Amino acid sequence: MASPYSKELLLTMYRKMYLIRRFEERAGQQYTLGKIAGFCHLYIGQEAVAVGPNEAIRPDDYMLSAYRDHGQPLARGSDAGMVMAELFGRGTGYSKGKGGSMHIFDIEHHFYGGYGIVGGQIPLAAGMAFASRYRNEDRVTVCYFGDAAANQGAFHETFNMASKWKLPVIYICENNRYGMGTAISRTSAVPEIYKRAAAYGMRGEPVDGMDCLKMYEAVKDAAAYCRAGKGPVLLEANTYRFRGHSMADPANYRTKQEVEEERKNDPIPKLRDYALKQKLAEDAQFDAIEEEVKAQVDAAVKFADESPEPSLDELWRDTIVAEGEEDVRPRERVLGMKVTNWPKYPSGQELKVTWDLEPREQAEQADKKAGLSR
Amino acid sequence: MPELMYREALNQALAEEMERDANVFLIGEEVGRYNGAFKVSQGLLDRFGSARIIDAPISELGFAGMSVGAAMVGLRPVVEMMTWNFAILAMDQIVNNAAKLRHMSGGQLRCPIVFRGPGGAGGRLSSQHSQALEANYAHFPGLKVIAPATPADAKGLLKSAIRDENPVIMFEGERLYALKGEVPEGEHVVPIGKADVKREGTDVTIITWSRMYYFCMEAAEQLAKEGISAEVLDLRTLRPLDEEAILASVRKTNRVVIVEEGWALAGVGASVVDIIQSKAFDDLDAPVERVTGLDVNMSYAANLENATQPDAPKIIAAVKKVLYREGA
Amino acid sequence: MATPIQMPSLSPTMKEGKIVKWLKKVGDKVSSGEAVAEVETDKSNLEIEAFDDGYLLQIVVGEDQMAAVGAPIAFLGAKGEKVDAGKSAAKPAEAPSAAKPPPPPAPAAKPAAAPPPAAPAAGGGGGGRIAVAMPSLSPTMKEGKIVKWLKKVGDKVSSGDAIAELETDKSNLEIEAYDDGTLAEIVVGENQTAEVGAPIAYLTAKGGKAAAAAPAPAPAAPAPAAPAPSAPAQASGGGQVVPLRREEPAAAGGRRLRASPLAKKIARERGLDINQVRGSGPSGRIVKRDIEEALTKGVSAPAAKKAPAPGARPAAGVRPEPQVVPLTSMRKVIAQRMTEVKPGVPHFYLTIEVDMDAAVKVREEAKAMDLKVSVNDLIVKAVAMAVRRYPKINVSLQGDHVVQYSTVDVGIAVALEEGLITPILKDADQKGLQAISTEVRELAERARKRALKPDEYTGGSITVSNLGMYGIDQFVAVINPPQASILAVGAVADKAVVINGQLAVRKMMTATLSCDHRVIDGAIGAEFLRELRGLLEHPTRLLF
Repeated sequence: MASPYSKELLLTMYRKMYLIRRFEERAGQQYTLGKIAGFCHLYIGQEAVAVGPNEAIRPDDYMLSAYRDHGQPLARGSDAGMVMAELFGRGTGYSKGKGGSMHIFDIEHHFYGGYGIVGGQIPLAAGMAFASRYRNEDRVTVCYFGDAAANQGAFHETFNMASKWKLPVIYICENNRYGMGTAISRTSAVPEIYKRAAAYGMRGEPVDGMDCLKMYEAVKDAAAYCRAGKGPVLLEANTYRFRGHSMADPANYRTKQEVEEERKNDPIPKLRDYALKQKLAEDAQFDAIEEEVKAQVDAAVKFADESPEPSLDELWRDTIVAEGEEDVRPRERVLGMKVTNWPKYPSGQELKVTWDLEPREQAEQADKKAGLSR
Repeated sequence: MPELMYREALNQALAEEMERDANVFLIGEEVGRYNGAFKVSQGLLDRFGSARIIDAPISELGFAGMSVGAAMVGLRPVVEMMTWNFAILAMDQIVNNAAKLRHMSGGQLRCPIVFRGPGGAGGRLSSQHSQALEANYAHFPGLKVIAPATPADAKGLLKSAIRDENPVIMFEGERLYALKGEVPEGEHVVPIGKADVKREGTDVTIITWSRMYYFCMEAAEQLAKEGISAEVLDLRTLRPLDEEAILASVRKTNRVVIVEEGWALAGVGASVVDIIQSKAFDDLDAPVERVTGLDVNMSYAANLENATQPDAPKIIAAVKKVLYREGA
Repeated sequence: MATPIQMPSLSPTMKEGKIVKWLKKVGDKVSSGEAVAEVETDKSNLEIEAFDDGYLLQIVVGEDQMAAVGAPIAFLGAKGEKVDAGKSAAKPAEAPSAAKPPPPPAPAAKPAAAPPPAAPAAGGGGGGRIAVAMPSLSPTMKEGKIVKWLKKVGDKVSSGDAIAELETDKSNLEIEAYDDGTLAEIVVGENQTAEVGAPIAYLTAKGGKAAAAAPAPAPAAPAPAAPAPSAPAQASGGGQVVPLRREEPAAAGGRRLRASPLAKKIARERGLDINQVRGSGPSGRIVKRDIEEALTKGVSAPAAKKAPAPGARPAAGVRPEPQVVPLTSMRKVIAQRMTEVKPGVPHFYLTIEVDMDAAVKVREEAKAMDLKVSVNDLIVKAVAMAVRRYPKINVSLQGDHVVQYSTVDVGIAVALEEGLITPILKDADQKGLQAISTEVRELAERARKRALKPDEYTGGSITVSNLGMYGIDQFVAVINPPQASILAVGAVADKAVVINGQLAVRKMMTATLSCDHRVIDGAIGAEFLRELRGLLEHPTRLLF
C-alpha cells in the first residue's frame, strides 16, 4: 500500500527530530562543561511527541509546554542558536538570558513558553483557546504537560472548564512514566491518564509517543475536532526519556535493561526505516540531513558561546510594561530580521463578540435539570 | 456630582470599560446570573452576554490561570475573586505566571489583567474570611496593587487597572461596598501610583488605605477638636508606592502614624516606615507609630473581633504618642 | 588529535567528582553518547559520556581518585595515537584529598570552556586588604572631610560599625564599615578631605594579619618601584597632617544626647548648640518645639572652650602646634558667599570725607538729655534719609529684574564671635534717632545670641558697616547681595582741614560707598553721597 505521507513531510519530520536529538546531546555536553547551569531537562527520546503534532497543526496555532521545553520550539522553527544562547544565559537568547532552559518563549512562532511550576501551563492553554473562541477564530491550542502534572488541581479544574465551554485545546500528556524519579503508577490511582478525560465528558485517547507518524495522525484528527467546535481533546503520548529527569539525575530508579529495551524503540531510526521501506527516501538523503543538522547545531553552540551576557541594564527591563512600550521581537532584536508575523489582535472597537458561551435557555434548562427551577 | 455606592461605582467602571473595549470580559463566581455575590456585576450579564460575563466554577486556580492565558493573547480579563481569602488558591497563577510572563519571555509577552475582590474583615466571619492580604501581593515585582477607599477612587482606579498593560491586583472591601460618595460620571480615571491627601493638616500625617481610611478620618475629626491638625494621606496604590507624596507629607508634619488593617510583620506599613526612615530621617521629630491588626487570628465573637482591628481611638492614641502628648 | 574527556559538571552545586569505576579501558573503542566511567558527585552516582568517537588513549584520573570539574580525566583519539606529553602531565590529586584542578588543557573548545582558574585566595579572600572608600552621602557631595576617626589602627571592625565621622556639604554623618576585619591603615587623617570613592582607610579581612604595612592591592598598571605605603599617621594625599584635636560637644553629664533627627537638623542649620537645649520629649528627647523655643528665647551662649590665650607660654622647648578648628556652618556660608560675591558682583567705590563736628554735637546734646544716641545711629538715620531722597539707590538686582523698594530698610553689620550678621532696621527713614538707637541695640544683642528671625536679617538695599570703633580710618566693604550697596564708615578723628582758606581742626570721618555697578551708576552713587554728607554736616536737615 502506498504511503499516505509525502516525502517532504517525512524528511521534514526526520530533520526536526534529528535536530532536537543533536541539540539536546550538545546541550548535555555544554552542561557538563559548565556553560549551561541550573536545571536542564533534556528531550532525548521524546522527539516524536514534539514533531508529529507540530506538523499536524497550522503555524499560527498556539503551543505551550512545561519546563522540558527545548524540543517544541525547535520543532516550531525557532532559531537553534538563540535557543542555545538562552540555555547559556546570554543576551542573544530568546528571553535575553532571563528565562534559561525552563522558559523558552518564541511568540513569533507561536510558542508561548515553557513553565516551571508543574501543571501551571494547563489553565493558560484553556485561556488561549478561550480567546480564540471569543474572537471567533478557528485556531487550536496545543498544550504539553508531563504525566505527573495530571495529579495537579490545575489539571482537573481546567479540564472541567475546557470541556464545559468546548474550548479548542489539545492537551498532550507526555507520559514518560516517571515524575522525576517516581513512577506514575506509584502515585496514581488511575495511571492511564487519558481515562481521566471521561470524568469531564471529554475525548481522551492514548497514542504511541515513540512513533512520529502516530502522533501526527492523532493530532491531525484532534485539531479537526477542535476546530469544528466540539471541545477539547486529551492525548496521552506514551513515550520514554532516555536520559535522567534533569542533568543531575542518575536515573537509578530504573534498570539499565529497561532503558536499553526502550532505546530499541527510538523514534528517529523508526521514521528513517519507514521512509526507506516505503522507498520515499534514500540513505544518502538522510545522511545529508544529518550532516546539515550537525553543522547547524555546531553553529548554534558557537553562536551561544560567542554571545555576550545580557547587559546589566536588562535587570530593570521586562518586569513592568511601561506606557506605550512595545513587545520585544527576539529575531528582530538579535538577528536584525524583519519579523512580520507577530500576533496582532483586533482593537476593542473592531472586535464583535458573537459567541454566547451559555445561552439563557440552556442555563435555564440546566437549572431545571438540577431541580433548581420548575 | 451623583452620589453612588462603592459597588455602584465599580459597576459603572466595569460597564463603561466593557462598552469601550470588547476585549474586556468579567469572570468569577456568581458574577452572572446571581448578579454578583456583592452585587458589583449587577445587570451586566443582560447587557453584555454570557461570553463576557462568565459564571466560573469554584476553581479559583483554574479560572485565574485561564484568564491569564486569555490575557497573553490579547484579551483583557477582569477576574472577580469572591474574596481575597479564596484567591490564595489562585496565587500560583497570579504570582508564578501573571507577574513573571513579561520577564520570562524577555519582553515578548504582556499580561493585561485585573484581579479584584474584597479584602479585609467582612464582619463576624472568623479567621478564614477576615484577612487583609494586600501585603502578600505588594511583595511581588511584576504586579501593581491598588486599594481604593472611596467610591470615586474605586471607579477611577478600576478604569485605570483595566487599561493597564500589567497585572493589577485590586483590593476592595466587603464593608466598603455599601458606602456612598460622590462619583464623577463618565471618564473619571485615577492614575495608579498616586496617593491622595484626603485631609490637609500640619501636626501629624496619618498614612492609610482602603477601609482604614474611614477610621483615620474619624480620628482626625476628633483630634481637630483638641486642636491637633492631622493630615490624612490615602495611599490608594500599594505597589508602586507614591514615595513622593509620602515624603512630602512627612516633611510637612514631621510626625507619622501608619494605619493598616493587616498584620504588622512584613506589612505594607513596614515598607512605608522604611522609606521614611531612609529618606526623611532628618525630618522626623518622633519615631513613626503603626496601628495594625493585632498579631492574632480573627475571632467570631464581636468583642474579640473589634479588639483585633484598628479603630479611631487606637489611631488617636498613636497620634498623641507621636506628638508626645500621651495621657494628655 | 587527542581530545580530553573532562570531569563533567552534573549538578548546579558540583565542584568535583570521584571516579568510581572506569567502564572502558585504554585501547577500547568509544562512540559519542557512550558511558565511559562512573562518577560520584555531591548528589549521586552518574555516568560520564563521551562526546566524540575514538579510542581511549589514556586514563588520567584513576578509580577512586578525585578531579575538579573541567579537569581532563582521560584522552580520546585515533587508534594508536600518542597523547601529547604536555597534556597528560597533569596528575590528579590522591583521593580523598581536596581536588586541585590541574591547569585546564586547551581542548578543541575554547579555553573559556573550563571553569575559571581557582584563585580566590589571591583576591578578597582571607587576609586581603579591603579599602574603605569615601561614601557619597548626598546627591551633591563631591568630597567629604573626616571630622574624627572613631576607630584607631589595630581596632577590630565589624560590618555596620561606625568608623569615622564625616562632614559633607550638607551635614555631619558617620561612615560605616561594610566588612569585618581590623583597621589596618588610615589614609585620610582627621580634618582632611577626600574625594568620593577615594580610599580613606584599609581593613585587613578577618583572619588576616593586622599588619599596617601590608602592601596595597596591586594597582591596575604595574607600579614603578614605589616607596613603601604610607604609615598610618602619614597622609597618602601628600601634605602635612596636623594632629588634630576636635572640639568635643559639651556632652552634658557624659550621657548620650537624645534629640529627634529634625531637632538636630534645625539646630545645625540655625547654629544653635543643641547641648544647651532642654528636651521636653520622652526621656528628655529634644524635639522641634524645644529648638524653636530656644531660638526665640535665646540660650546662653555655650561656654565654648577658649583657645589658649595667645600669651600662654608653652612648655620649654616645645613650639606650640597650630590649632585647626573646623569651619562653623556660619563661617562656611560667609566664606562661600564672599567668594561668590566679589567676582560675581561688579563693585565700584566712591569715597567722601565728612565734617562731623555738627553731628558730634547732636550726640552730645542727646547725652545731656540722658538719651543714648551714637554717631552710628546718626549715620544710619542720615543714610535712610538720603536713600528716601535718592530712590535710585534703593534697588536690588534679582535674577533678570530690578526690585525697586518703596520702604527704606537699612542693614547694620554686626560682628559676632564667629562671623558677622546684618540685621535690618526696617523703615529707618520713618524713625526718630531715639527709636533707631534702641532698635539697633536690641537687634545687635539678639544677633549675638543668634536669636534673629530670618525676616530680621533679610531685605533692604544698603548696609552700614562701621569699623570706626576699631580706629580704622577708611576701608572698603563687600556688598551683601541681593543688596546693591554698602557704606563703609571709618573713625571720627580730629584732622587739619582747610576751610575758607584757613587751616582748621575739625572732626572728620571718611566713608566709602561700594556699589553694584549692574544697577547703580557712578553719578547716582555720587548724588547719594553728596546728600548724605549734607545731612551729616547739617543734621538739622534730618528733621525735614
